[in-house]
Amino acid sequence: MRFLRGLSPKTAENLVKALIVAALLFFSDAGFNGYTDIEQRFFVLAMGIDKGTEEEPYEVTLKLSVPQPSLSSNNENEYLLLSKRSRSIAGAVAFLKAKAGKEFDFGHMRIIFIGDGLAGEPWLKTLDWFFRRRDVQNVAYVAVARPTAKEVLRLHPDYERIPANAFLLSFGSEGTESPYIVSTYLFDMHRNLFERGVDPVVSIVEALGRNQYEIRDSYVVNESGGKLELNAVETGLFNIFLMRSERSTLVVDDGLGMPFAMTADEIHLDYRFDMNPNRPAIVIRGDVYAQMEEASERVEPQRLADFERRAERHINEKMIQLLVKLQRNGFDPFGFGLRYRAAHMDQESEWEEWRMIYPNVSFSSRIRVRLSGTGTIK
Amino acid sequence: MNRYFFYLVVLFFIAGTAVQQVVYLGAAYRGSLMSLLLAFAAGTLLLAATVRMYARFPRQGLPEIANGLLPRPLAAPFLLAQTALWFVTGAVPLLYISEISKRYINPDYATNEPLALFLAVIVFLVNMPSVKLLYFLEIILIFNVPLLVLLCFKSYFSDQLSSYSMLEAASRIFEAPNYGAFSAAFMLFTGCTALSVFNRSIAPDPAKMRYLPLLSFACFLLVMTAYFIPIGMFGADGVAQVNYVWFAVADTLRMQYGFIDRVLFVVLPMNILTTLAFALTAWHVGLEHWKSVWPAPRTVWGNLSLVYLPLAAMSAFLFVLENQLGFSRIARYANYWNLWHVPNVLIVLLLLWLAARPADRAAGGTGN
Repeated sequence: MRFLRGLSPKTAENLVKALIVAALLFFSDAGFNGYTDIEQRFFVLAMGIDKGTEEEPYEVTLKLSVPQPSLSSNNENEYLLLSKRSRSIAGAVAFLKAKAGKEFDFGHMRIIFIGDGLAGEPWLKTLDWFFRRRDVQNVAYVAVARPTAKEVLRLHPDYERIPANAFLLSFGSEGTESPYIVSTYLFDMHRNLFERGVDPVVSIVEALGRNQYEIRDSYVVNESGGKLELNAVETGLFNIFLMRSERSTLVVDDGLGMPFAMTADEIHLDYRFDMNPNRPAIVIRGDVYAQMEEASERVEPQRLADFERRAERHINEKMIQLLVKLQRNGFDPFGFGLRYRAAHMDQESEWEEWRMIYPNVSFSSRIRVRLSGTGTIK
Repeated sequence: MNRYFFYLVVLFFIAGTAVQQVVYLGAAYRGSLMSLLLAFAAGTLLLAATVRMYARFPRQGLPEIANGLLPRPLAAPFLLAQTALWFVTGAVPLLYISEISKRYINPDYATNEPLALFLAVIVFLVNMPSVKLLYFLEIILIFNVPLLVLLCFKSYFSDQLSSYSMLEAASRIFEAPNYGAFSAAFMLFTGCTALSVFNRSIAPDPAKMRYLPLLSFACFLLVMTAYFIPIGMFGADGVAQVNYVWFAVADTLRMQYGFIDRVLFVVLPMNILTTLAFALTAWHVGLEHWKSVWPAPRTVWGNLSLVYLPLAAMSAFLFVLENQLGFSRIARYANYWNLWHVPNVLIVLLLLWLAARPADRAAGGTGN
């Protein structure tokens, strides 16, 4: 022990520090193991859940990318599809892991398909695994797959170079911007399923043959498992209402003259409550700035006002039809209820009040259409 | 040296937010917004009062003041209580980030592995001179604050933010505040109380501190951001379901054209770094209190055991705690720790006031 006495205070302190740290590492079982090497992993790019049987209610399908030696033009878009029925999603994934022989990495999974058969089941139950997993991205897209998630995941579009990338281009804003696509993120689902007064909307991806798919329709769903299908026009209106799609194409074919189509450049919409106790109403007003995109004959610039009026009537009618359809079925994807709650301070009663009011609300829509031109020809 | 005081205050906000947010967002429907506003008022007062009080004792820390005012049988338990509180204040965020590391970095870590790594950093650095610790904080904050501000703006401009959810939360402003949420938010404003040790080395000058309410306000904006952005992303009803709010929110943001697509992986190291710096500061303050209780040891080894025995004991204690309880239970008990901030701050201020009084009287006497 004599040498300890001879140490300088600085060295003695460093010695003590080193001993404590060594003890810490020793008693913590730190082996820094468990981290699976990148070559020993499968990257899950997309995942689908379908309705299974009575005993095994979930059929989980994983789309895994097959590692390529290099990215060159003659590479195949290679993927592996694994599927398993189980009582729980976690159980199915654990089983598939054993089957694949490599660790799954969900960190790059950007899209989640829920089979059409499960769309009418409580979504919180189905999505629980995704909400709970830490490595599933909150910005993964959620969509309904028709007929089944397995069918949709099997799709192999010719232009797709990375598995499941075509879906990402459809849903993300980097690729196409379509009025018929509703991009719903996983955290969006979490928020709107829990939030009283707003219901989530998810797009329906429909498989067409071996290598094509179509996104047109959508579902409004609620936390108790209700669902209501919106057709393409209604989906488009939904996107217009939330001012999400600024390149909506509106086709006016009302039998009052030649049919024509226009494309919206800019949309400003807002609504206000008119909470007259006898006759509650929601008044929608706004402006759509559009360009003529297609007409079957020559359009006189003087007659633009006529077209504007026809377009207005058309869009307002459709909007009210959609709102009434949603109201009749008890859905509220636009978040009227949430806005009502936000505007009222009485915390206990506001939600019950709104549930009494909503079925009796009447809608009026005063959207103005401004056609800025007839395009490059008259 | 006023700028180092500034760093202390800001550090508590940045590091504390992730931990305390869980408390007041969990109470989102029990008057948490009002609690936050009250905590802002109380916190600003605390900031002003603390700076003024310590200005009466230039280059003295709380231990010297307490030893001067109180008889030793009173001063020693008081300082020991302070030591314990500061150690716990550092320990809770430390356990939090080790849990986060396990969740988000590598789930296959052994139970205590991340904690051991963080403790190793603390053991190496905690006994350095206070001034050096402040330099260390400066560097960490210079790296972190711009990124944090950037990410706050990014989240504000996210088109996924539900403004009506935020309004719905705001419409609950008149609900009666609750003490738990108030106390959790108040803790964020207690950065100035670290002067109890750092006053020895920085001695901020209140005359040059007219910007203090402004600093407090800027920090309050961060608190409001950390309150409303999670609600906008996860809904007024849904946010209470989320466990690691700050990181879940970071995961709702994407940088398509950044080098890292998932913002989570930017926020994660940033938060771990600030929280580690916070724990280091808190333990440093605790350690200085601890040293002041005992007579100065005469040998090198006595000196070392005075410093490193409590550190080793705390580390062992945290290991056992983490092994035996698991994080969810620790988090629940940590809420009791939160309740102590307000009484503790009041006691310290009272002590400072009592210690300052005779000096006033003497000054008044000479004036006449």
